[in-house]
Amino acid sequence: MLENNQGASKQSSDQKMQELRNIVLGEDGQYVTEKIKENARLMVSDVLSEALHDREKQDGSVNTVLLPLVEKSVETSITNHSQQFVGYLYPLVGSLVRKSVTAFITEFLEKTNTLLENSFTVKGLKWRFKAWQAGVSFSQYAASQTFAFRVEQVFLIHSETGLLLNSVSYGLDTGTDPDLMSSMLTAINDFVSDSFKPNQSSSEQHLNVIRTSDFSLLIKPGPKAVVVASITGNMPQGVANQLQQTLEEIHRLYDQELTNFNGDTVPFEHTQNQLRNCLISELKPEHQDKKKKPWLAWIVVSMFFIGFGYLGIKQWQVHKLLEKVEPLDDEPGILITDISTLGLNKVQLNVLRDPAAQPISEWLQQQSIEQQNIQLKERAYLSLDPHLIKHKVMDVLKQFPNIQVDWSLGHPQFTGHTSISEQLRLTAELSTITGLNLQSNWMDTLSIEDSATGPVDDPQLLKEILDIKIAEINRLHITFDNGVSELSSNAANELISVAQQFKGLESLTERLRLSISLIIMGTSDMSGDPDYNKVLSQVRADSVKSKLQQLGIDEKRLNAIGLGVIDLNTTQKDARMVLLNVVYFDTGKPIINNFE
Amino acid sequence: MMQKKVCLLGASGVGKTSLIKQYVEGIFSEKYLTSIGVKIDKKQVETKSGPVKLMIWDIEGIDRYCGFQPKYLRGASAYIIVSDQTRSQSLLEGVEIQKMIKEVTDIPGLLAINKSDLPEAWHWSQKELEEIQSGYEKTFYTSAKTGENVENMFTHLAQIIVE
Repeated sequence: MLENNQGASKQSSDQKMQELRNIVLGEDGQYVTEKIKENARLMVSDVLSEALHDREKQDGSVNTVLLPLVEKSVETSITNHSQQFVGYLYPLVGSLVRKSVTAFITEFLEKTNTLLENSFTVKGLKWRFKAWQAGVSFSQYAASQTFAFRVEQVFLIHSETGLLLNSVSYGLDTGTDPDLMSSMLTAINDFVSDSFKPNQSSSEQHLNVIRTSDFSLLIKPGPKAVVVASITGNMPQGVANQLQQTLEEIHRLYDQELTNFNGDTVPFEHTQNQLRNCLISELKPEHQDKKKKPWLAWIVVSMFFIGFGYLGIKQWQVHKLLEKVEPLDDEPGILITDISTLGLNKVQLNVLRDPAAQPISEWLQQQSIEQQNIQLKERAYLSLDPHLIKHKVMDVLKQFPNIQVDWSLGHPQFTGHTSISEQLRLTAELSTITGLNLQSNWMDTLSIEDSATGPVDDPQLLKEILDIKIAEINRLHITFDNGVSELSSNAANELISVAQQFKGLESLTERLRLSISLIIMGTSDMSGDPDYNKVLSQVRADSVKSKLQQLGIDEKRLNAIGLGVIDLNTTQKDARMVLLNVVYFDTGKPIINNFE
Repeated sequence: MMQKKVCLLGASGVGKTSLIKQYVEGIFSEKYLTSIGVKIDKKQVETKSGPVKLMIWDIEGIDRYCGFQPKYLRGASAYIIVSDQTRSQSLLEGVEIQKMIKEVTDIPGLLAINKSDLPEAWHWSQKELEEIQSGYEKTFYTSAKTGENVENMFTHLAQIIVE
């Protein structure tokens, strides 16, 4: 009963307390929550940094939470404001690139210098020989000569099992198997410590140093692991201290892993960093100074650049020369077939040159080009260049001081006073100019002075002139339209010229006591009846004969023949024509000129 | 990679060194055996759980008059005791050696009855043999001459170590 009363009284007091709480704090602490919310910002900002710091220190969770958030923010920011980011990074990137390039060049120079020193200097060769004598690799020998001491390899060995946990080396291949080395070292240590123990009660002995003439093994034993360094040269105390520090650090950091080691070396991969700290070395005093300035490398690099620059200048000069020579191609009568650089300072020049054209050496002199720099290969050819033809004509005219020439009509028109023989000689000379196509009317403007005496009486010369004149007539032919035998106006004009030329021949042959006549040969093409064509060709020849008669040529000197069809497959229309052939007789025997 | 130390022991002349000569990769000369009493070789073995690197400590032949350096057993994961089936004494010595091992460690061991290429010349009854073999994980009849069972034995050893 009493208990019941007590229970009821406790319940009522709890209820009252709850009611009191609700009054003071509000329903579910509402007043307090509201009050805290009001000041939340202020309260959190007061302790935010410290709280973050403490939590990060405690379990590192702040970093884990913030990392993805920061990554996401940076990603969004870069996507939306990439230009701004480029702006921020630009000065940084420039500086980074400069630093990286500088570091690269310095390293390159130093490496080149070492390589050169080791390969091309007397010392380098001597070392190579000695290394060969000693039966060690050159790098090992060089290291022993260069360094006062150097830690070549560092092993981290598990004390109990003798298994290798990790090892680092300077990069030299010593040819040893670190696994076997570490086990064997452990065995040797066990053997020594057991064999040389002074008495049973004394503490366990440890090997600390194994020294040979070439290297030392420095052993730092710890309770759970051993650090061993293989050192060449005279080992200073500093190395032992460094090894001790490293061993202590590894024991501190990997205590659990060492205790629970079951043969898996993966947890010890990161000991690499600590072990690397033990790979220390010191250069011999004489090498310390040399290291400062890689002179050899500088000399080689400078020589390389000087050589490169020299070649560049030479190349530039020879190209300039090439450019200077190229306009030679524009000269009349000169054609460059090939032009190229030859060696460092010469130009190979292959040209075709008309003998009448300006000599190459003269042109080079005019352009102030040294001939010794030009390797010239010249071959002759005939040029049809109008300028050169003009030049050739002017050259011929030098022999005829009384004759002038006018080029304003597009061809040479000769003027001045001359004799017939001079005119003939001029004609003969000009006829030799290929491409000129000398026309007789170009000399119509010449004033001929009749002179019976002079060099014209030379029969040899007269004969040559005669041949030239005959050749000119023989070259001509009168064409007709299809099926037509009447002369066209053009043909009539041509025949006027032929008549004049033939008359000129008459006077010439008289002097040579020759008789002259003109054979007029009519032809026809293959179209139509052959008999008709035969007749047509005869009629055409007769038309020409008749016209020449009209123009004052004696009928006795003209012979018209119809040749009929001439089978010219390639040029059908040209077969409709009349051919001319001048023949002359000497002592009753005719000499017939071939068709031209 | 997983690494394990194993020891090879047995009486003198049972062929321990010959047993592994062709099987392992080593750099040390056999003269180490007589100078410091141990030679170490290495062999990588494939197991169901992946490759295992065995560091095999070949410990100098032991007879009744001299023991062996127990420190060499330190950290070992397993051992093999080699006996010679042409010499009854070798098995007896093997039993002695196993006793010494049990005094310092409790690692698993295999029994190799070597020279299986030669006719058996000991006088152990099947019962006696079975009794001796019961102290080992497994017994292998091996031949250093033909290589019989050598690889199997080391593979089995590696397997029981990693299990």
